[in-house]
Amino acid sequence: MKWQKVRDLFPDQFVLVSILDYTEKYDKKIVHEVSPIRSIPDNEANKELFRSEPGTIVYHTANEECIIHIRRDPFRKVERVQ
Amino acid sequence: MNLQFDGELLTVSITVIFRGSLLHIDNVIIDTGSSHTILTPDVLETIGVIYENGDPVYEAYGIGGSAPFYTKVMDELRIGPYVLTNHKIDVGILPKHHNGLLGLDILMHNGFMIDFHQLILEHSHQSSLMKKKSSF
Repeated sequence: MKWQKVRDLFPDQFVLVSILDYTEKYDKKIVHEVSPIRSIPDNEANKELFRSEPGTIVYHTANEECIIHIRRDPFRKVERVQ
Repeated sequence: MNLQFDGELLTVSITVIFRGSLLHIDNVIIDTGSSHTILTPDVLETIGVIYENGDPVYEAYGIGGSAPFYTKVMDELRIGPYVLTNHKIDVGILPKHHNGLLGLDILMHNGFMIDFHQLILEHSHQSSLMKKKSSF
């Protein structure tokens, strides 16, 4: 569903969503289509963000747009929570 | 400012201040291969640094795939006698449970010099971003 629909269904809170479609503009992704997984309490957003699987993100629905910035460092060693 | 060598990498101790809380962080790796400074969420959580609405969210693409992180402005970041105010850092998971990486955003843009022979980190000139405190 559209990010706007998620904002209507889960107003003013963090949600964990699967990213279905986005537009990439140089240094950021503007996410248009998502599939909501669940809402996340404020005090769990930190933990859930770092636990999120590739292709998902924790984002707050107070934001009109869902924007994920992109950082490309060729030698940055990235790791997700095991 | 003395650097430590743990047998593999060069590290330094730093202090961060966030919303009035102060935290010493040891074993921050000097990393000229990082464009930005990153500190781990586990360590920062102890002084209330958590992901909040309004914090820019990022995906980092590097060796190992991609990983999420967010950025947060630290009221102060101190390296020895040198103090940066309102400095934005990355908050993200690092491999091998390292506490952090000190990147070029701090090292180069503030004119630090690294003496690899004596293992000293020195500030080479006055910068508008930095002020030297005689004690802290």
